[in-house]
Amino acid sequence: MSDDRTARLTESQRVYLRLVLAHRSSKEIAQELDISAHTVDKRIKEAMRILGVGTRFEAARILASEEALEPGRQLGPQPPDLATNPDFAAGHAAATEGTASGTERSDPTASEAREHDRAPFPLPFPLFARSRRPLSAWQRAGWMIGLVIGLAMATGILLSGLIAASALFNSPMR
Amino acid sequence: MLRHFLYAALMWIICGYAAWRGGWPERSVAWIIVLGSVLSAMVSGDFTGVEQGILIIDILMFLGFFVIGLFSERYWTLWIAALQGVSLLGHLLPLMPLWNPYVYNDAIALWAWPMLAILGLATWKRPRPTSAWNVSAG
Repeated sequence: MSDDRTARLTESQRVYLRLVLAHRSSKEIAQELDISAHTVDKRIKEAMRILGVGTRFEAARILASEEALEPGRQLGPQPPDLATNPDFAAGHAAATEGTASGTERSDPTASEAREHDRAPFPLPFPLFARSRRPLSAWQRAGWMIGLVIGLAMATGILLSGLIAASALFNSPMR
Repeated sequence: MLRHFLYAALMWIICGYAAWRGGWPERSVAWIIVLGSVLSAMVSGDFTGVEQGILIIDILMFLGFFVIGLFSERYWTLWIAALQGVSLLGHLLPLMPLWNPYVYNDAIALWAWPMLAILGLATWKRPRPTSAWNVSAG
């Protein structure tokens, strides 16, 4: 049914969709292929438009089912078996899209935004240390200056509080 | 006076430990703290105005910690630099209308204590290469 449509996909779009099926985010795909996440998003959106589907996972599944039928493809880079299981893939897509309902699914930009994993805020302490990437030099410099200001203000507030308290307890009004 | 001896003892113990067991950030910070503390003690006056010698040492220490904070991948180095920065701001106290030498002295000396604590903890908890697959030391 979508044979002719998948045939219109470019090789790079196919590569991206295979990685999407392997649950890679745009950012991870971009890192793996050394291109910008924006380009990845753009190509995947084009692929979604060509295939006429609302989400990137649907596009990836269509491509995977097409490629599963082609014997020459079997030896190529295949997504893990788990992901090709339609029940699992559907469940995962639904989970990834959060509360995506039928109407929301037809809105590609909304699902794009949900699927796009946001980078965690770069905190100055190791929260979930293993999964965090190190802070950039700018972030480190920013945190050092920010912490100086924050600590100085906190100390000032604490001291003025103590001074006020001591004035209160020493006052003859008591 | 007792406070000075306690600080000196702690400083030598912790900085020695950091220089012995630490990676390059721990060692550099330990050296900066030792040099800064010794030099500050040598140049300190009576705190009746801005202590220019200590101010210069504190600025140099802050720059040192800042550079270490930029290039190290550890988080504690950011906090050491921040604490030194607050200590540096303490030199603004004599410019205020109401101040006294004791508060000024404490305001710039106080921050060395948490810095020692952080350095000790950082050296103790330093990720060490346990195998060829885990070489994220330093």
